[in-house]
Amino acid sequence: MKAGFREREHTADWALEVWAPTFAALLREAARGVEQLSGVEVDEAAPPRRRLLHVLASDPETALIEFLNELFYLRDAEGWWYRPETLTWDGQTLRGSLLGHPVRRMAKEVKAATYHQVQVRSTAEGWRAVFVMDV
Amino acid sequence: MLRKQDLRPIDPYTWEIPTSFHRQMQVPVRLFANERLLAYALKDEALQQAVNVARALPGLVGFVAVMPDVHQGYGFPIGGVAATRWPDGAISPGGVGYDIGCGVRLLVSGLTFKMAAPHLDALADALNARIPSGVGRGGTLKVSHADLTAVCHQGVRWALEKGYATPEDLERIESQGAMAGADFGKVSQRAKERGRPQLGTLGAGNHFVEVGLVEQVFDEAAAQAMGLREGLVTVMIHTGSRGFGHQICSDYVRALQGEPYVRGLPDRDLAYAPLATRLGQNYLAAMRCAANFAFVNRQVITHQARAAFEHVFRGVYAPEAWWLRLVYDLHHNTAKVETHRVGGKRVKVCVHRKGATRAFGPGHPDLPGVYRPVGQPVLVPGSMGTASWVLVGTEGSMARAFGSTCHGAGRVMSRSRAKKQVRGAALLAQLEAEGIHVRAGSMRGLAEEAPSAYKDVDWVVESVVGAGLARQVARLVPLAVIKG
Repeated sequence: MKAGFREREHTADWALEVWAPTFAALLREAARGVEQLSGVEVDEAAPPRRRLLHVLASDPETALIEFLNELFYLRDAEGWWYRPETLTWDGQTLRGSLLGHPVRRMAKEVKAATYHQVQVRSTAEGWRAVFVMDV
Repeated sequence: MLRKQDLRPIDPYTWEIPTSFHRQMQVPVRLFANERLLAYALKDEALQQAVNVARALPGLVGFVAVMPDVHQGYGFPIGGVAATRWPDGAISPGGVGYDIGCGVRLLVSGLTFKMAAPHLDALADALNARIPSGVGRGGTLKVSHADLTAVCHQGVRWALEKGYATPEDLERIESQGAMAGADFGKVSQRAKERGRPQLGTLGAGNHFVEVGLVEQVFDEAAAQAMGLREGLVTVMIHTGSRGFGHQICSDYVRALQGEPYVRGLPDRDLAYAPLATRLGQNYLAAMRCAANFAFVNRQVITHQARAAFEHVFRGVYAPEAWWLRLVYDLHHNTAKVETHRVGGKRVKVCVHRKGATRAFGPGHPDLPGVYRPVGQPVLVPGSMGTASWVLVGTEGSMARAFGSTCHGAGRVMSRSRAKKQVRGAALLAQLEAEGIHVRAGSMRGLAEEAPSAYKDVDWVVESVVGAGLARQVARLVPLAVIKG
């Protein structure tokens, strides 16, 4: 399965469907989808900043939502947009490293990833997720 | 998805989903809408979400009220009102929303259209230059930890001390610009870090600053109390608590996921805490911090808007013409402890309003003296480029909807479909051709907010007036719109 995402219909907010061969790739694709939908432009020439990720999550839905909310927190608190470098989830904790660049501009701002109707499932081909973001 | 036959008509503007619809419903759901808006409400999951609230939230009183501008949200519908018994009911962060304290403020100038018209382009530029969207970058205000603490505990009184407000402003803000019971100690460090750079910023999405014109007055006495006259130029500000409130909501929704009583809920965003628990009390205290942040955010933006008006009109007209006087400021995403009459008895309840406006009727002791005879002002922004309304609360809103009414036009089309159907540049040209000066941070964002993506605000107002939840005071039309 090749990783990808598409926007789904939701009256007021943004819903994304994401698929990928592994769970780590699913999270990476979700972050890429959010970045693209938000129209994030970063200063790639600036020296990047690295951050370690440590999120307690005992189910894949929590891992996905809290991973995205970590990116939104860092975006607002630091003014930097982070992309995942490495990610591993052992069923209890999501660990990894993020590489960030200063935000130059953004077309849209996501307030939060929500638990509303979040679905993450493992299939024979890989992983699929659907989640809604408040915008 | 519910069907029309699942609802029982009570009167032409009131529909009920009885508890017999689902065996777990503790109370009925009441929708206030005309036939056309009922049809819209049936198109997405909004009414099912209201049913889910009626099933899931412990201690519900009376009914779950649904406003005519309702649409599907996350967990709770946007446009929903749910009251839970104090102190043994529950509080749900999802029943307030991520943008805690999101709301609207209306200001009025002494300028007429004729006076302002030659300067509207310069005014749009001046507002756009002074009011940062803050999207991805934060604002221009330097806010220390001590400042943020004071913002949360004192609300707009902090802004008064800093020179961003006048004493008269404080009198015309819901809760006088500070919800009591806020506790900064219940706010996470992450929320503090996220919120501090964003005070005094507009944000994006459906948030805006709009220069408008009082097109028509319907209630002279109420309009006079508000200082509104036909032909006067107004400013409406729509924003909330920015990343500060978003993080507080995210923190508490997450904390609640581990609680045993949230297992088996129809939706994880319906997570709640019993009001009597430490978690419930902590959320209330943190939520009030964000509510106060939102009041101050709109106050600082008011200060920036006043500076823009002064920049454009100083030396052209006397200060009394261009000074922006506050009409009212209110939240439409909040939870408040109030006393209401239910089943003939006075009951203390926690009223969740998510995309719904408090609309206290005449004589209510919580209203400032100037508005006590006429009722609380209610501010209902329309979609971009269309009319907005000023209403007042009524005895009917007290009796029928826990002192609540609608909050806007309400979306009807998804953002993805709006982007496919509308080109931002074409919409901008159309609005400019209609004489509306637009400054937007992003064309894509502009397309998502196209008027066609929203219901007709006049239908919404017809519905709440028909249902007795508000009375018309004035209709405003747009002259300039600043979007983040």
